[in-house]
Amino acid sequence: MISRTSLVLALALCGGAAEPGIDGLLARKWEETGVRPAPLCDDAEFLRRASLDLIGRVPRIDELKAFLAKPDRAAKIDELLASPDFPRFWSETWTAMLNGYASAFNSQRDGLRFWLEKKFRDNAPFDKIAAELVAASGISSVEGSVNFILHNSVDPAIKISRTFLGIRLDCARCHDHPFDRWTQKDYEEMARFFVPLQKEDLPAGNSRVRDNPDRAGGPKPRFLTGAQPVTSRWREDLAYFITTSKPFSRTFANRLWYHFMGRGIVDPPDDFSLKNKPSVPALLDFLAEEAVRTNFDVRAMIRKICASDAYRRSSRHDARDPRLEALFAYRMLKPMTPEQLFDSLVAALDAGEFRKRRDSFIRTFVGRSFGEDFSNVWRYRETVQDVMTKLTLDPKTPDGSLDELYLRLLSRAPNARERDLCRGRAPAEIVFALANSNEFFFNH
Amino acid sequence: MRLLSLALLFALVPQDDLDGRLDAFGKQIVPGSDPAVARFQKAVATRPGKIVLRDRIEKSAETLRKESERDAVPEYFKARFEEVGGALKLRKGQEEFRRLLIEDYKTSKVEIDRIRPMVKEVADNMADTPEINAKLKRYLSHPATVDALYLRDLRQRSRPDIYVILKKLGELFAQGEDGKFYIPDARQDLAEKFCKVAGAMMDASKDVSAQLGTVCEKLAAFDDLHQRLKKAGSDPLFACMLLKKSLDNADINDIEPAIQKLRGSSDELARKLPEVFEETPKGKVLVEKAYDGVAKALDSYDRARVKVGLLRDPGRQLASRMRGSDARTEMFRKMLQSDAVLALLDVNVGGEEADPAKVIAAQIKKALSKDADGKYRVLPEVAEEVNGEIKDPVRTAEKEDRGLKIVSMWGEKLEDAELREIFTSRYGKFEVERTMKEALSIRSYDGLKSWIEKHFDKSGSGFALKAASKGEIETILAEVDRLEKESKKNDLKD
Repeated sequence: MISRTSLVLALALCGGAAEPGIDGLLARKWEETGVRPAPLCDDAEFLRRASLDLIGRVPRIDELKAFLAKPDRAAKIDELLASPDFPRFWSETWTAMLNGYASAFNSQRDGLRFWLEKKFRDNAPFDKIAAELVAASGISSVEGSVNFILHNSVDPAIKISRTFLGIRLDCARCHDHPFDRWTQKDYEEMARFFVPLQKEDLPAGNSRVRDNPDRAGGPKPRFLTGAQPVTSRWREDLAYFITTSKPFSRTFANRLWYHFMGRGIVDPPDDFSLKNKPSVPALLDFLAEEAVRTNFDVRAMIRKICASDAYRRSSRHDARDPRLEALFAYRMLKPMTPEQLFDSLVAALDAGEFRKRRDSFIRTFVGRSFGEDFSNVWRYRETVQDVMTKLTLDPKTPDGSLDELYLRLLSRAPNARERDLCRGRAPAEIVFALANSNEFFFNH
Repeated sequence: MRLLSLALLFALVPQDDLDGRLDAFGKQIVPGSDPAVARFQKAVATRPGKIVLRDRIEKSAETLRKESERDAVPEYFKARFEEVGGALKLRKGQEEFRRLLIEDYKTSKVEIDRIRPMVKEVADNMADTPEINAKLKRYLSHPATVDALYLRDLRQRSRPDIYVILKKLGELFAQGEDGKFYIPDARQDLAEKFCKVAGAMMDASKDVSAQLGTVCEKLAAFDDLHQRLKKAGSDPLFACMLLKKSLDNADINDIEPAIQKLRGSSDELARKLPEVFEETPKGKVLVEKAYDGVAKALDSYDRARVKVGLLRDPGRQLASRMRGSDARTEMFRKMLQSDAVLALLDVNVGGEEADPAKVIAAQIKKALSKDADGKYRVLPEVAEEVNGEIKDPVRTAEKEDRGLKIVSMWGEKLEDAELREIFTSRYGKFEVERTMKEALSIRSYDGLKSWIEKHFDKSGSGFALKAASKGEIETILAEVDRLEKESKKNDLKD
């Protein structure tokens, strides 16, 4: 009796000469570890997943119907990548990753987001994006990338190491890392790359960031690989060392994988360490090599991942086990970001007129900052639930059939039990229940 | 054709696309028979080559920046004056500059002369111990201190310039080298939000003032309050003060709720208007319970009028210095000339805090005690703050004096006696310094052009390396090699 995984592995490896791709490498790992993966998801679930991952919202009902009539997945991925919503959503996700939701030290968050959106729209290679962020200089209102450095100017070495190398140097700020290779000296030498960094407040507002070569004196910095700068513009040299390093390609590949699968091959994705090894090392190596081979082409990497069976694994599996999750035997459930949740509600309810409430919704969702004055604690603050209720109970709630409401919100038809439960209920009630269900809240 | 493309290298490629300009330059290099130049040409197209060259370019730009700073004072005078027979004479077209400067100088002098004796009295009577008192005494005794205090801080409060508005709105703009302000692409979204809030306020205050004006026209001249209200009723600024509260704690990133609240307040005001007045044979009068609220609103309005009065001119100046004529820029021009919007900016000008003498008196009271022996002493709780503010008084004073000497050397050559007085005074030094600072903050320096001109000869066939620069190219190539070698260390240590 040939097991299913053996068959998958045999198919993946057939031909001999070709290197096994994502699915072949996973199949090999499953075979080694005796793991049985979940089945593949259906077309509707694939579309919901890909739409959320690429353009940040569930598919509209017309998009769903069109895809189900002609389920060409590769063409759909291309279509989503070509949508203006792709660079918008990816710039929002990356801005949150780079600068969070607040602005600090005169940084302009929307300036960074705008800059990233243009980069993703132009399909700029990711190593170029990263290099420009690390070595950013100019005026904050003109050069969006500068706002990354401004926001993280207290200790850029920490943020940059986490974001682009997946390395946590935090502990090494004060002492040698207790569980990893990093010493306090490593941190200090890395931090020295930012010594020439000069922030200047301009008379007419805004800030200018530049490296002052006069400050590039004293002992030279040293990158975590041992490389030392050659020019006096240390950040520029650092950007080069980072983006040509192996940790960078691994981290880039791992972050993309994390985005689509809900779990990194190294997880969390900013914690590559001696104690936290990749769960499928060969897969990480393969993706990192692909990143280098494609010159860090974000869209090419996305096509590769989204075309894999790994991306199509169902999130339903009879055994929920962290070990299986680490081997990507089933799809992780990903909670929606506030942007995804709002845009999905608007798409599902055809409620374009709600767009103006987007900022308000996101801020409510993210919550108030810890720095807020809490002397007025009993003041009423709107909750996410309130906002969602307003959206779903608006008089313009779609008044469709039960099937249509399910397709709009959950991208699937109701099952027999659900039909039973919904019998006699008003559309507004059904919409409210579905919009507040876990199935809607999660990307699965 | 080749010559044209050389010209285009500097003229057409955007200044910020440095990599593009480097590529264009690389293609125009004539390697000749020199293998090092041929290698250099190849290196320009590579990333390490670009990094090393960008370093050179930045250093060239830094040299230009320093030269620019060094030449800033001569440039200031040469732009406004011409040398005629050893003296400097005002250039044609600079008459308005002269008029405004003299006017501002006279006003400043009056204000500085008011605070000088106050500061002197404290300096003369400061205790000598502990050290903070002696330090403050040295600071306050220096002749530059009063002028610096006034010109750097107090003047902005009584006679604000565009920078007080830019402190609130500056993050929306970028400034071109021509000194004009524009809304960069990256700030358009935020600018739109500002426009929405300001537009909503302008509309709402216009609506409310129209309704209020009609009612107030029929007000009886019952007492002072009624007379003030009659005058204020039709002024959109008064309406703005009534509505402004609805924008309290508004977040510019989340403006829709604030706009809704503003519209709600406007509707509510219109609805409640009939309840505030009652008819009498001599006309409408306020109902008793509305007196306090109206009196408070009129007081805020009076304060706002003073503030807005001070901001109108800078607002107009900033509006006239905006570049472009697209709808959003036009809206900003309109906003900057609207009393309601200027009031919304909540700029700290006017009022009690605008009187330099009152501010100085308040600061003395806050920081010093006058003890039984008649001596002033720094209060212990503010000693650290005072120490931070005055830093190193001797060094600061020396710096001020050096700057004054340089400006005075030019000032003494001025033919115009009034201008001569200005430019040999600390006021003149401050004026030059302020103008220079703005000019230098917006100037960009083309380090690539300067570096190429230093090392290459331009000819019809392209850029040929100057013989004297062979060493520079070899150094660059060695650095490129070293950078590539360093980048080979591309994995983590074990």
